[in-house]
Parts: sequence; structure tokens; C-alpha cells
Amino acid sequence: MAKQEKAADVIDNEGAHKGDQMHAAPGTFVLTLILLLSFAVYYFANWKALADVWQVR
Amino acid sequence: MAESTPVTVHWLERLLDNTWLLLALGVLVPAISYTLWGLIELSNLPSATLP
Amino acid sequence: MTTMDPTVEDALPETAVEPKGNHAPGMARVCATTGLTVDLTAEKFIKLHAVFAVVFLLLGGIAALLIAMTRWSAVHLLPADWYYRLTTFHGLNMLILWILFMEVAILYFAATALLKTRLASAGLAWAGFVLMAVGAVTLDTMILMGTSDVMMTSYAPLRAHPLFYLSIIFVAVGTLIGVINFFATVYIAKRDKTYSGSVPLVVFGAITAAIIAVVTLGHGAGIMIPTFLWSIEVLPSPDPAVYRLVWWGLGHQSQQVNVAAMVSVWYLLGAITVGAKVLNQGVSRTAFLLYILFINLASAHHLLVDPGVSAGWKIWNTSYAMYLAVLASMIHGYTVPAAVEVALRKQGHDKGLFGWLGAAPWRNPGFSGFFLSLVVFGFLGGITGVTLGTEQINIIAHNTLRIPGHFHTTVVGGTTTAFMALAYYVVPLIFRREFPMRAICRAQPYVFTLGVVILAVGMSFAGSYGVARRHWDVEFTGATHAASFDPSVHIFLGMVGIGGIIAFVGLLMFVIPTVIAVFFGKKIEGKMPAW
Repeated sequence: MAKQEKAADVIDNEGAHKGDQMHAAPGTFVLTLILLLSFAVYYFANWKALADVWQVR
Repeated sequence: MAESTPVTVHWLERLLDNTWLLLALGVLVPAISYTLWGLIELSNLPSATLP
Repeated sequence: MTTMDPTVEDALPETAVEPKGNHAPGMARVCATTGLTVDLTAEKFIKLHAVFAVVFLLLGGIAALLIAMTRWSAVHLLPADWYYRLTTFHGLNMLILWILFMEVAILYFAATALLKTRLASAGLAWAGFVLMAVGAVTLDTMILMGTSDVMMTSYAPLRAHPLFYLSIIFVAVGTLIGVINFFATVYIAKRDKTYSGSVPLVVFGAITAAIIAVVTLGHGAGIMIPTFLWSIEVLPSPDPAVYRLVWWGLGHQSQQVNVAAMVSVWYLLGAITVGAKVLNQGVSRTAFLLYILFINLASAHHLLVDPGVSAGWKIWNTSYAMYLAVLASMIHGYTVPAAVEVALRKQGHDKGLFGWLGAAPWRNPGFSGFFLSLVVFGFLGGITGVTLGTEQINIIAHNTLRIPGHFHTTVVGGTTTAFMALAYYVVPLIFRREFPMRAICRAQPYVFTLGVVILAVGMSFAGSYGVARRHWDVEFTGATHAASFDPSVHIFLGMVGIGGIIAFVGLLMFVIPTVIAVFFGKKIEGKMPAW
């Protein structure tokens, strides 16, 4: 188990892992999918609300 | 003999490291796209005639 | 729960480590907890700005409670003149004074502590601070005296007392001086080579905020100076359409300064609270670049129903270009929690999809405040913002309570909560005072966020039924033409009142321990006590 680093060390050594670091964050990925789904539902519900009050004949 | 190859820094990284160019771009883009364009449109509006 | 804290066991006492950087002898110290070098001159100004920020937060919060009690139709507390007076007061204290004082503190901290440099000029810092403080006190006095009931936007030809405009100019110029001092500090750090390579990401985010602030304050001067001259009858009245265009270059862009500063605070608190490392420098910096280039165009949302500007101008500024800034927020919205997840998994919390989330230090208000800010800003603020900013949809939401419903989730649930979370580290690390009432501090981010979410959801639903923003009487008492809403709006306006009370309690749970800590707190000599 890695020990938590001091903030100054984390910030000073940022450049050491610049660019192509591989990472696995599956939990965050699922959270972002939930966000996108919520956005899609809210966005299209609003288009529906607009269509209801602004009829095009 | 090993030749020293010059390290090429990606243009985006050079841009990101250039605070003053970022400042200039950050001021210019909204100044042109939002403010100047908007002011030109407003100044070209014909005056409304009173009924 | 873990016992995660920002300290490491082998941290050295402050005197044992020499400060790094370009400081004069005796003018810097090394923080025993974070290892950061703190410039003592900058520290003084960080304290001054932070104390003033919290005072204006409290004043704006008291006004908020009274406004919420008025919008709650069953209570309807204030008379009409005081409702509009306090709405003016609330907007300016929260959106301008609390935020700008806190942001100058953050800029001074980011430039000096993270680049290991001295502050460029104490003289400039004093000049900026005094201008801001004099402007802020004058502004609040003029509003409370009833001379300037013009709302935060002060749309011409509404006319306030000349000192109202002059005091806003003072605050704007003072902030601009602070921003210039920040850029000068970044310059001397590079000149003196106090860091190598690129600036740290948090500093890059602060540079982004400062660039946006320059644009904001330029628009502020551009509109407030002619309006001030009109108020003393030197110039004719500003054209209302031009006023709206340029004013929103101040009014909305000042909130984009918040976004950039808040995201920087997320990265910083991620590093401090769980040791989160930035996953990809290029990606995160490019996202900040998109903010620099495009986020300021969001001001155009306020003009979506204005007749003067063309559809082309509206669509370009609120859609195509603006979505690049939305993309940037989505990138940060992924990279920040992902960095937290990677850090926690490396520390052994890797059970299932969300084991890391359960093991996060939720009892640490610096972490919980930061993560709640991220969630509320992304899920509620981001989703409503993009939707309301769509030109066609905007027509059913413009000037309704849905708009304050949106920005209370971004500016309050997002920025204010993040800045409060930061304060849980600023007080022990910069003021070097211990927080009292730690159980209250631990609960504070949850209470405050709950209140803000109830308030904002109530506003959004009431607005969906057509209830206007900035309107004293939802019943239209005595109006020539009667207007009525669906009865359910009273439930939603009740949520505004109840949410407002809970959020105000959450605000007091922040302000009271912070004030006690700053002025009477136990002095911290070495490492700060773990949260």
C-alpha cells in the first residue's frame, strides 16, 4: 500500500509523469456515464417542454 | 560519435508555457468575438421611428 | 472511514528545513504539514483578503436569508423596497466582494507558495487591498442607505448614487492591481528560476483565472466609468443595449474567474487531502486553455432574448465556441475525481467500482467540501447551464427563477463550497490556528450543500412554472392585470425558503468556527492536527 505523499512533493514532481501516464479509474468512468445520461434526459425533457408550449403548425 | 539531437517541444506545450501569449489570446478572443462584434451590430441598428 | 490526513509521520519541524526560493533572509517559512514554502509578506495579504472575504460572505448570507424568506410566499417577509435593496446587496456581496477578495488571496497563495517565490510588491498589494476595501465598504453603505436600489446589474437608465458606481470602480481597479501583482510575481519566479519546467497545474489554473479577470475588469471599467460620468451628469445616458452587452462582460465573466479558480482549488485540495496526482498534464492544461479562449463568450447567454444582436452572434457565442469551454469543464470533471480514485486505489482502497469512494476521508471537511462542490457543480450546475444556454430552450427559461436556480448550484454549491473547503486548510496552514468545534466543521459541507440543493431545486421548479426572478410578489397584489401561477409553485417557493434557512445554518457553521479559529484559535507550532 502506497503512503500518501506531502502536497509539496506531489506538486513539485508533477512534471515527472507528464503526458502518457496510463491510469485506471473505472469508478469515475461510471460516474461520468451517469452524468451524461442525466444530461441527455434533462436536455431532451427541456426540448419537449419547449415543443409543448411553442407549437409549430 | 553520438550526436546531440535538439529536443523539439510540441507547439501546444510552448503555447501553454507562454503566459504572455495566453494573456494576449485570452483578451483578444472574447474582445473580438463577443464585445467588438456585438458593438458593431448594435451600432449598425437603424433608429426606430416613433409611431 | 480512513484516518487519511494531509500530514506524513516524518514531517520535520519548521525550523529544520530551509525555505527554497528567492526570499530575503527571514522572510519565508516552510510549512511543516505540506512542505510548501510560504512567503511571509504574501501570507499577510492572504490573511487580510481572506478575513474580508468571510465578512462579506456573512453579510451577503444574512441578506440571502431575508430574501429567501420573502420569496417564500407563505412568509413574504420584507416590504418591496427592502426586497430590492437586499437583492442588490446580496448579489454584489456574494458575486463580487466575497469571491474577488477570496480570489486575490488564492492568486497570492498560488504564485508565491507553489512557485517558491517572494511576492512581487508589497506596495502594490497594499494599494490593491485598500482600494478594494474602501470600495467595498462604500458600496455596501450606499446600498443600505437606500440610494442605489438598482439591483446588481444596475441597467441604465436606472440610476444609482454616483458613489455606487465609483465604489465598484474602486473594487475593480483594486482587484486589477492584485492581478497585476500576481502576474509580476509569476514573472520574477521565472526570472529567478525558482521552479524548473512548466508551472505547476494549480498555478496554471490561477493564471487562467487571472487572464479571465483581466478581461472581466476591462469590461467593468469600460462600462462603469461612462455610467459613473452619466450619474454626475458629465456624459449622456449610456445606450441600454450597449450597457447590457458590456456590463455582462463584467457580470458573467467574473463568474468564469470563479470557475477557473474553483477548478484550481479542486486540483489543490485533491493533492492536499488524498495526495491525488494530475493524471495527464497536457489534457488538464489544454482544458484550461479552452477556458482562456472560449469561456468568456458565455456572457452572450444574457442577451439571448435581446433584439439588438443578430442570431449569428448569439449562436456563435453561446453554442459553437462556448461548447469548447463546456468540453473543458467535462475534462476537469473527469480528471479531478479520477486522480482522487487513482490515489486512493494506490493506497489500497481498490475494492470494486466504488470502494475508493467509500474509503475517502469524508470526515475531513476539506475533502467533503471539495468533492460535494465537484458533484453539485457538475451534475446540477453543468447540466442546467448547458441546457439553459441553448438558444431555443432559453426562451422558456429566460428571466425566470430557473436562472438563479442554475447559478446557485454553480457559484454557491460549486465555488463557495470549494472556497470554504479550502479555508479548512488556509486557517491552520496560513493563519496557523486550530479550528474549534471540529464536529460542526465536519458536518458543515453537508448541511450547506443540502440547503443549497433544496433552494436551487425549488427555484428551478418554480421557474419552470414561469415564476420570475427578482420579483417581490408572486401574487401580483394590486396589479392592473391579474396573473396567477399553478398552485404548486407555492410548494417550490417553500423549498426556496426552507433550503435558504438550512444553507444559512450551514453558512454560520462555517463562519463562526472560522472567526473563532482566526482570532482566538489555539496556535499551531508544527504540523496541523489531522482532520
